[in-house]
Amino acid sequence: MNSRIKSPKTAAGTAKGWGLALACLLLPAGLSAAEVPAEAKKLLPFLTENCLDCHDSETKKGGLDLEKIGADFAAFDTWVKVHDRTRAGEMPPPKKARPEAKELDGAMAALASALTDADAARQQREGRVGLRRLSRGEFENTLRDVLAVPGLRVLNDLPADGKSHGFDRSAGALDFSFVHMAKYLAAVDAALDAATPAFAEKPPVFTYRWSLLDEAGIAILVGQKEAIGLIGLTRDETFAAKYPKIIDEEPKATAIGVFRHGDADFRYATRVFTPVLDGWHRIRVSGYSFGWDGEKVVPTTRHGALSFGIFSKGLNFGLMDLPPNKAAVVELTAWLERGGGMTHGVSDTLMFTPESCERLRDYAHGKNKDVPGPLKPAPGVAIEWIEIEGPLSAEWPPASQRALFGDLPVAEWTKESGVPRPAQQTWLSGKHPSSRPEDLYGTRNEKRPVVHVISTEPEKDARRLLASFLRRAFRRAVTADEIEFYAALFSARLNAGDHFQDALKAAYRAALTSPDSLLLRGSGPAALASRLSYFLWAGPPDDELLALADQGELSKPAVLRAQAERLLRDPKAARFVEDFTGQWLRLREIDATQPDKQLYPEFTPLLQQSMLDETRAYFTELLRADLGVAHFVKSDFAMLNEPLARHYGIPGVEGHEMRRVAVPPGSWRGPFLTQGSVLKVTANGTTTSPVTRGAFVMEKILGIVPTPPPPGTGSIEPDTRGTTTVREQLEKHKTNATCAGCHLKMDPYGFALESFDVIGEWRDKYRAVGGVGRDEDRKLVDGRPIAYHFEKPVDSSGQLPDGRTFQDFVALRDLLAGEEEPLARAFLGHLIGYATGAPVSFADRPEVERILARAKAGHYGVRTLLLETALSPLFSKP
Amino acid sequence: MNIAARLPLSRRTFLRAAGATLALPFLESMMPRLGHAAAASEPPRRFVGMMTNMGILPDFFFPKNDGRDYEPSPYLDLLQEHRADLTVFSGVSLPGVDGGHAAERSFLTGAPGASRGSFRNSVSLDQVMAEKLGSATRFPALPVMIGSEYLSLSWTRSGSMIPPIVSPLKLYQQLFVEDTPAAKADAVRRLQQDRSLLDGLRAQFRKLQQSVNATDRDRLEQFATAVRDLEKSLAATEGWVDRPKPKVSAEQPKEIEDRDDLAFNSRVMLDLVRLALETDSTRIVTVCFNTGSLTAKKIPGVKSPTHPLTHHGQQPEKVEELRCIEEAQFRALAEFLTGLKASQEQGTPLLDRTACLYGTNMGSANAHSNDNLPVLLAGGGFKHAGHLAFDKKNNYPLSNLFVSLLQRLGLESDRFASSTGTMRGLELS
Repeated sequence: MNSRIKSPKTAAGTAKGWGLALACLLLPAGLSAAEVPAEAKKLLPFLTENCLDCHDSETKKGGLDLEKIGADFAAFDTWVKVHDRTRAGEMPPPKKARPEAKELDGAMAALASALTDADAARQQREGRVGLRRLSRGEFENTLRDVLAVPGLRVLNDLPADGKSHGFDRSAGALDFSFVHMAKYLAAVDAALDAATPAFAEKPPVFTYRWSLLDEAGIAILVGQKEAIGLIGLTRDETFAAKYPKIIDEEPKATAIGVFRHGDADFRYATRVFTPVLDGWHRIRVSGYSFGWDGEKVVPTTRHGALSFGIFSKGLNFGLMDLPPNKAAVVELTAWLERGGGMTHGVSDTLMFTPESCERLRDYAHGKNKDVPGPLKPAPGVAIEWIEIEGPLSAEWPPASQRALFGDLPVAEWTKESGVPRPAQQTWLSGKHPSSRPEDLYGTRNEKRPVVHVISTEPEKDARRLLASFLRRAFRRAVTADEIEFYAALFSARLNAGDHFQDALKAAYRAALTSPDSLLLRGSGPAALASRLSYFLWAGPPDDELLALADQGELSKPAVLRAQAERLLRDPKAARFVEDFTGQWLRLREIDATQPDKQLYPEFTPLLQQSMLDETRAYFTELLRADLGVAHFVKSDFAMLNEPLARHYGIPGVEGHEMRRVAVPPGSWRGPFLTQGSVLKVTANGTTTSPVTRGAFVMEKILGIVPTPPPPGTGSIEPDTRGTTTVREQLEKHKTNATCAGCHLKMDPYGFALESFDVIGEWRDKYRAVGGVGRDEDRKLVDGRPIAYHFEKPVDSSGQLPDGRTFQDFVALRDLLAGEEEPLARAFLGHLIGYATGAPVSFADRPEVERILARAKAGHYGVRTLLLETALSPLFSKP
Repeated sequence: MNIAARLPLSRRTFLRAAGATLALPFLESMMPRLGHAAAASEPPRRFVGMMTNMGILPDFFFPKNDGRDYEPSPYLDLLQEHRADLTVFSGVSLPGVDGGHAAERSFLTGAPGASRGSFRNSVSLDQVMAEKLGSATRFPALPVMIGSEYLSLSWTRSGSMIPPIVSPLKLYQQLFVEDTPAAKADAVRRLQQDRSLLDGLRAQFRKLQQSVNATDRDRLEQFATAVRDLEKSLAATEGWVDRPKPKVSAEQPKEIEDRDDLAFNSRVMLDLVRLALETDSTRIVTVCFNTGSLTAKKIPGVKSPTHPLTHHGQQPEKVEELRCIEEAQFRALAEFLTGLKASQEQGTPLLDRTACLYGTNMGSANAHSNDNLPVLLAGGGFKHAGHLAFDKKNNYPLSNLFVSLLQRLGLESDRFASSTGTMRGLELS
């Protein structure tokens, strides 16, 4: 536009408006509107001279009207944007005259100083973070740790939490309604119930071993040619079954070989076994993997994988790795609960899935009656036997009993005990009549013992137990008054006729739902202990941390650092890795879309689980070895297991455990940017969008939150017929000035990532479905005729906003890897947001720069950045 | 056609019984206690979600043309009486909900991927409604089932099925027969303990407010309000324990004698549902018709179990048997709607305040497909739009209707499961 048409602006002419706007900005600092500060006076001529031509009320370029800037916090954010874009050299735009560097520096320093003062004043007034509720995940971990009930699962009964700045840990987003209150109360009740003693003496351990020959469902599979009898790698040719049972009276088979994956509407339920008691159980399996060439059993090089879980409840207890061709005994430990009896649907029972098998349902099987198995080559899993042993109780009495009742004795309760009958731990009804082993307690729990805690001095015992319980529940030292407050609740219930243990549980219930338990707030050593543990464990502090806080030691930097290191070494640090990567890299959304079965027949749940494990293992490895942030985009190693390595085309990785693998020279595998998990959550299952992926890279890796598109912007129609590429469709972003402003910064990263499909495989051409050739003529992928063909080639070249160009993903990766400082600043921003519950605000910036300066020499090691965050004054600010 | 004349269980008997019970001043006495004084002048909104789980023959359900002047299909012909009060949808489905039969678990939850072994359900529409509105009535929500096996449309937030009530006798007793004094005392005691806990909790939040800055004070206010709202809701529940249950002149039904008698059992259960709504015992009901393993042989022309019939492979005699069953189900639905229409509440038909959703989880049971679901909505205060036809190839999300229903019941909600907005073409009246 031509500025000559407008009347020239003078500093004098707009001084009033300017003074007002800047004064408004600074008002929160306690200045009155009358005294326009010196900084503002310095800024006025600069802004008038360089900005007002476009950003006045008449033109409002980009929606920015400096003459009418508001006095609220939106104005503060706008001023921050003015500062940042001017500092970044984006403003004034290239076509306009640039002010002298010195002049610009002076003006921006003045603005920065005004913004810092205003923001610091806000922090002073409102707190940097403010108080916040525990997120539902943190609350679940809190109940588990405080009550020592590791198998407690309440998360999914609690309403989902809101997010702010990418994390569900910010005060403003963690709201609370009566629905929350009701559900949190119910969660506390479930936790206290689970911790209630159920036995006076250590209960028996049950062990039961069975073969799949005992599982009625197997006969169906044999009939459908989805399972065979095996003796080692030889098929038992006389093995026969006719639905619903195996009719071979004396089967010679020592193992059942199965081909069918559990992903279709078929499940392997363990109907012959029901856990008798809650607790940790050891699941052991003797089995192996074998090959099938479409006609007969053959040796294989692929490992087998078997997982156990109650999948309908989202419980997957983990993966067992079965070696090829020769049986071995493998095991895992799982928290199982009593029940699975008549009142439960089949989906509530323990199930297993041969994860390494394939979806047989997707292709024809058994049409040829001479072939006893699938008509195509398929991997198989052979199971000789399954054994479950439990509950495994290393300690007696259980930790949960001690958490509630200390060393008070537990005995069988009878009417003659002289005290009211106490509430018993809730038990689901027992085993299904057809399952084993014998249920000592009766299928309707009619034979279970009634037990109670014995206290000879109830008032005294209650106060003693409350003192220690409240300290753990409130995560700090408690006062005598506080103990007395809860003791009074106890006494009232005791006097009203409750049993000692019920009265005490009522006081615990009140404590666990109190603000002291639900909220994180305040400053001081105890608050710092909680901050640290909720940062690195997503749960409450342990005794050691609390003791150091009590002694005032924790605020000493050396002690704080040592504690942070200790927490990271603890297995509970896995919660941090899972929670942080789940939100930072959006791994929580891994289930949001399902890859199209026609386009991506090779995708399996095992692959998805491996992808998640890869990202967590990689982050853990960066943390352990304090590797630099450049590893986010470029690496000389990857964390892999067999299915992933096969997926990525890296040879020599056998078995399902994650391990560090050096990637071949020239390979791009390893870093977050090329991990299947990240590439999957940034795609929609069918197609990829450079916009979505570009935005992901900008926000998550470079720390720039893209502005949302203006209202009414259309989205593109994905085309999987192969006629146009998404790149062609996005050309408009270049030519349309409104789009270009943001998309030229965002899309290039996405263009480079076009080399990866929706499940993270490298592609040179897009897959397309429909119309070409007959199924019979198509090549096979893992034994399946593929339904797609290759169409247009991928173009992954692009140009960065600063003008640098790249030919392909590898070239872009190298450019990004050279940007250590921006990568580190972005990551530190995410870390601080996660750790403190508030994003980096303007006044925090100098501290961020100080941390970066300290971490620079070590190439911004992930562990260094994490520890520096914990040690930073930002971390302990309330 | 006079439907009532053909009923073994007299419709008129029930209507008379209902008329007598409607004198109960349930609304007037409840509303002020709940703090909804402003709403007291207006009768409450209600929801009944119904699903039959073996599909509905699409050719007999969907009208050929769209709009208000659609030509009724054979099944819709049975609902002609209510034509002005209903909207028929076509080209709708629940995005990502698959698995053929397995989708029956997702009908009111919209949870995708029912075919997967790792499938997990999510909260159902009625439960979201009940969380907010349930404390106004004795039963926050009422899941019932007619048929065999064990299936409910109602699911908790953690994706557990809420067991349905299957016995009409037990339902009647819960609705209309008083509990023992001991059971009442026990229930009151537990509620009072909860209220006392909340009372103390609120005091703590209030006290904490005095020592924090303005922003945190506002946050704590939210907590205090949450606690107070729950207290109120518990007080309301407690009020129900001592409040006499409504008296109805409808006789106590017998226990189900013949599971296969689908038509009769449906009518008995739906009549109880209507009584529950009329007496404001609940405002939110789900009804699951679980017909797969039934042989509805009391229906003339039917001799085979329902599930095998759905795999008809277009064989005319099987289709005909299935049509007889489905027709009987639509008759039962028509009677239910007629009953709601006849019930008056402050001069308005109960149907106008009760949104009744009826549909199925499979567009074609023969193909086990989960798109193009036959669904209709009756009553409930919508500007009914005749036949709303959407794209059969690229279905419109049915979950949008769920958002409309939430909003109709006064919940400030802009999404449910896979929704993308509210139901296009369906406005509130």
